[in-house]
Amino acid sequence: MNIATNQKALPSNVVDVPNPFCGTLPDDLQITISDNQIKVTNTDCPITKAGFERKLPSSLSPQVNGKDVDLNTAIARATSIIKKSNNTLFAGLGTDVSGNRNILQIADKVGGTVDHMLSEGVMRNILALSDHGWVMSTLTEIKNRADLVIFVGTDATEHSRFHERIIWPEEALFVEREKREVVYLGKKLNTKPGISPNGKKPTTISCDIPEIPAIMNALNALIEGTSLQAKKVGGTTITNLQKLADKVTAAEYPVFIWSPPKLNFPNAELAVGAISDVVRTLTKTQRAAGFSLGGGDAAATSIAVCTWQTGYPTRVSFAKGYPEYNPSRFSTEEILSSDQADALVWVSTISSNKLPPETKIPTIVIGEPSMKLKTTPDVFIPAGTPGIDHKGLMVRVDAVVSLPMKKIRDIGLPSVAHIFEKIYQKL
Amino acid sequence: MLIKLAGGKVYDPMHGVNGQIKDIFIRNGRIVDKPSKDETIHKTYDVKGRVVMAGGIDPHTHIGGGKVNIARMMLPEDHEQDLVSRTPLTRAGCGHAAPSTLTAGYRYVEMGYTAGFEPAMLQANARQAHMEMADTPIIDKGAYVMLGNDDMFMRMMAQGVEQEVMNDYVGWTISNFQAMAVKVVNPGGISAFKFNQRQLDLDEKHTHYQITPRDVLKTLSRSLVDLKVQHPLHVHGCNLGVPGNVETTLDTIRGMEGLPMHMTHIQFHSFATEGDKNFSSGAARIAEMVNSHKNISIDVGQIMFNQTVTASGDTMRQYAGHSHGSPNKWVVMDIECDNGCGVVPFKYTDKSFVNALQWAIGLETFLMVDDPWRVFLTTDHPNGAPFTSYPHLIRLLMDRSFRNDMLHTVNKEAADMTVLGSIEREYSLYEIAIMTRAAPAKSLGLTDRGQLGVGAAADIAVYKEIDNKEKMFEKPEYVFKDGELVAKNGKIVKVTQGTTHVIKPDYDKSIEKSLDEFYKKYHTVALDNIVVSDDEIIDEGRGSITQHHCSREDTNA
Repeated sequence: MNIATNQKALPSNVVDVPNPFCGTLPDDLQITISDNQIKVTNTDCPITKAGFERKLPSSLSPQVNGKDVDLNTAIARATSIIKKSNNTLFAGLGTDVSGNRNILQIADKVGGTVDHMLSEGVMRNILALSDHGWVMSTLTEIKNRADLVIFVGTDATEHSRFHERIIWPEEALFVEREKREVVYLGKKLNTKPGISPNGKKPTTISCDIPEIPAIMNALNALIEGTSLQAKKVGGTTITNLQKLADKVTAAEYPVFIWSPPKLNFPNAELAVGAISDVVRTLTKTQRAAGFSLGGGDAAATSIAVCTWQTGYPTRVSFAKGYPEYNPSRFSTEEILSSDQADALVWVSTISSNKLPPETKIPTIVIGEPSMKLKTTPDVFIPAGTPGIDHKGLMVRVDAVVSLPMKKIRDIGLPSVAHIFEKIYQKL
Repeated sequence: MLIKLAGGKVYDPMHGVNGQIKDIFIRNGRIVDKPSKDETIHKTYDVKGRVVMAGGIDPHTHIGGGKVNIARMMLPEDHEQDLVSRTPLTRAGCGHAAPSTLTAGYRYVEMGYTAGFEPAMLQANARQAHMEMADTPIIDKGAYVMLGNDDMFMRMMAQGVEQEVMNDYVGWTISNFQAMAVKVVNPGGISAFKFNQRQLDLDEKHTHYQITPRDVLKTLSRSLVDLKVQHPLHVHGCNLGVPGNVETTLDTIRGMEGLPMHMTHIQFHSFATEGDKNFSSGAARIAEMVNSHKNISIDVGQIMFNQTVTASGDTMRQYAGHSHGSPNKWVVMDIECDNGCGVVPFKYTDKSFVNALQWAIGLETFLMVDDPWRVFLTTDHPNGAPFTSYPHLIRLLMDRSFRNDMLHTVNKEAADMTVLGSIEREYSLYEIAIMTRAAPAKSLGLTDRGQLGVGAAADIAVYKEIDNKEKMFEKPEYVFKDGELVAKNGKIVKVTQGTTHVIKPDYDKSIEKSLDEFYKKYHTVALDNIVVSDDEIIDEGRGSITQHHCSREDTNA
């Protein structure tokens, strides 16, 4: 397929562009575009630049067994694989609301299973939520209200503009910039963005990240006024935690921020639960909140759509005719290692480096065109990225705000929604 | 295609039709006059002896938006009790307390309802609410946008901005978030909770903005009158669930000084403090007040004895009530300098004194408010009970001996404290048709729904008339949506897509300049990106927008 040049119909400078490459969906990007090559002109965020400015491959042709074919042929082949399969795993799910809707429609029809590529981390939140609940905030609340921000086990550097946009805005409704305090809990964190514009340094409490549940439990006890016999917990001292307890109880609106992928240890939902316990304890007498970062690769979008359509966030099987949810058994890894699926559909149209898992079962990849696959799938269909190649809706990491993604270039790439609508019509 | 429903007993209160035998003709989705003799009737449904009503309209049901989705996410164990398999026509999903969007649409239709209105749409979450409603098939939908806690509004109030400018902001909000009406939840209280205020009475000041709920209510209500919005301000009042809150509710009604107001789920706001447990029914006083104030309409928010989940914007009261929840898990969120949400699962039991009395208070209210045009049938789905309990509720209203049998099974102390057993009133089919169809349509300004007159949309439910009204209303024999047969004997036979009802009041667009500044400075999304466009809802023909006129005529305001 030749790269079409419909670009003339679209403007070459666009402002207020929402960013699909970050779970916080910043929508203040300015871009220029020439010969279908995009340039982001108002940020140096590496993830944003890598996403928008990536080079297109020489061919945008769909392939069957590595050979160029037209879109209809690729769709026909994909359809026949799905038809023959008894349990197709629809994984990755890096696509917008419509893409997720249409994938669910097919999974429901053929009795397949769905799982988002980042669900391992997402489950840490979901399990904590469905066990005990939580008290949470959203970006605009934090920006305007948080006088103390505590990063727990994360430095948020994967969201490189988080500090600039949310912690250090020039003006906020209820808190002065230089009166904000930042605390980091963890190890090997980049605490530099936590330095205020006037040079006020953040507090860093060095501790072992896998010990966050114990550390948070200790903090919770201290906030409740319990005196602890231990002198140390999780690589830090009770004295340090007492100071932190004093800080959070003195604050108007302390916000605890974590990032599920960074809580990468067994039973990490307990860490989310323990942080939430601290917030719940504080809420008895003052205000406080939690906030979870992440949500990239349309995780927040996929989880939201799957939840409203099935009642369950992800890791849902339709094999029995109704949605069946199993947070462990229906993970992509578990399904593939236990041979539960006999075909894999991998969808990843946002990042180019989220590759399908290795498997011997027939594989269909609906992917970002520059994706460098390690093995040749049965079908590869290059698809557009929402927010670049087509319009689409995406949900922000706080699961509250969603944004309209813009179409800023036209090189003839189909959307995931379009591809799955075509497949659905042929099933 | 010309369709005839032949010989049914028609209940169409909008036209005063009370059980008369009539034929109804449908063409191109609309009800039409009796055709001339030489016209071919393509399909005739013999509905002799059947009860024919317009499709039901639920004016207050939490079917779309973030807090409902949080409720879904929190309750895997509830879904498991009611998993729904796909059929060749319908999608899989789940039911009960927090149903999937698809299942919610099917179940409403299977029950004879053809429209549902999401009453608590946040500006910040409007897009998602509309997306969820777009995935709610067959029924028409619409949403009430929440105002009166957002920092933009509170600041304007605190700065003493004149009413006209407030009106522009209200008009902008309704138009740009694709709303049908405006709701206020715990006026100013959600905002106050962000400043750690734990209660906010009608005349209590917000510690930061120094304004009171009364100020908020009057300003918003006045705005809607000035903008000629048909549906009055939809009010979830102060002090939800607080014993003694009947006084606040009565004060709120008096304080409106004739301005129109709809008080929602009033059961939760009708608690008095008599008796050993300092908890008693205020329903009689509420009913008396409503009866004498024609500017007031209400819906009840009836509770039923079962597991459910409460999902509300009222963070202040949801937090206060979380310890009564079951199972013990709950969510509170502060949202975007806009509003908030609180999700608390509840299990109402008939053995609980408080729950049993709440049940009785709801029924007393229904039965003591004289005018069915001003009391709508709701359970505040899912807060009092899932909407699927409507047929049971209808039986409680229509069948006194059944009601009294139920009363004998509930907590004895509560039963002794309610006058319910002595109330003789039984709702008629005509009155049920008013409170579930005609009145909500009239209140919302849906001029061609909730009725069976010529020109109306052919949203029609046909019921077998049987003594057990729960059975009767559970599974209508036929349900038509825009003239198409969509359900038969309680089963979906065709899946269509309903429209989204909106209004677009006139406002001065220069307000957008100050909003843009505010968004640029304080928000995390650009103004142009937060608003919801027509195109998003129309979505290349998958949805549609039906815009209603703002032409309210008020004589008493």
